[in-house]
Amino acid sequence: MAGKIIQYQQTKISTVISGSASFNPAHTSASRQGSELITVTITPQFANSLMLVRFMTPYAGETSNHSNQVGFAIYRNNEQTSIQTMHWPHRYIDSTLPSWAGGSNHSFPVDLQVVDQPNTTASITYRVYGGCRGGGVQLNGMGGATFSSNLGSCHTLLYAMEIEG
Amino acid sequence: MATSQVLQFQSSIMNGIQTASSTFNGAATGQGRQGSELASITITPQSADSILLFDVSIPVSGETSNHSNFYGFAIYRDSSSLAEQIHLRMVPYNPYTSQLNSAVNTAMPIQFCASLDAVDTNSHTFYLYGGMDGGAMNINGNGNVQPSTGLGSSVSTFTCMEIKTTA
Repeated sequence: MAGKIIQYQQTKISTVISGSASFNPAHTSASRQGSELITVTITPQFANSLMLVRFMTPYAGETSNHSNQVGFAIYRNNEQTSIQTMHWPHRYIDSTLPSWAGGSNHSFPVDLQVVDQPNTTASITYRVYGGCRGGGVQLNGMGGATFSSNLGSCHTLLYAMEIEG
Repeated sequence: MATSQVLQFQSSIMNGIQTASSTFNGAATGQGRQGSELASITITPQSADSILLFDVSIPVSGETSNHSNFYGFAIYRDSSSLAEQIHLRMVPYNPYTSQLNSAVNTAMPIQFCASLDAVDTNSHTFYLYGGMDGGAMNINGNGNVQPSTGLGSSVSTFTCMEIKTTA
């Protein structure tokens, strides 16, 4: 029956992730933008399966105060063109910054997904790249800061869900 | 070859405008839950090595009046004061007039998820808390006003899917 969930694979990272490369949404040639932040690998059981790929980071921002835009992209294997791209221009915060913002005045939590049709039963690695327009992006933290461990923890998640086609 | 199965799905639906009156302080250094309880889900995992995939979707939210720029949400398990997922965001004020309440200039739809280990097959309750830094927060509306019911509904959801994967 089409629509049945066949397989679920995830990568969950609870530590601070930082990239250094910038992300240019106006880049015209086929090359990855930003830094690789998280990957997940899945081997489809059927060639006609659909892959629901979802990337979510609940607390993220600039590594320091350098940008007013962020971009994330999901790449398949070693391909240089993405299967999903997001770009977010954002206004800066001009009020007093909380300590959990560190040196960043732009906050970029995201929840991004795509349905891929890889047409293969070979192993696939989905790679999430991200960066700000003028520098790197930080996940599970921002501006070099994070929240007190007395509050608990957060995690960034990338999953691939194989769904019967 | 790995195979996965959805063993159960639980949900909590939040209808109508609701108010979280306690603030959420992401800068707090002491222990204790932040914000107000918005919803809860009780689930008894069928397998201790399952993953519990939670989703939070709040289509309309914002300050009750002009007092805040920062949101926070957390998912807590049972009586723990240590969150297992925290969503923090800064929302720049909007200099233009809100159609719902002109006093409100910080508003945002909210969406995030969490993947938590089931740990055991005992019954557990997971709580969704949320709030803003400077005062009360609405969900399914802002400025204590909800979108016109003539448009239809604004409904927030807190869901949990138990997924078991075998190698």
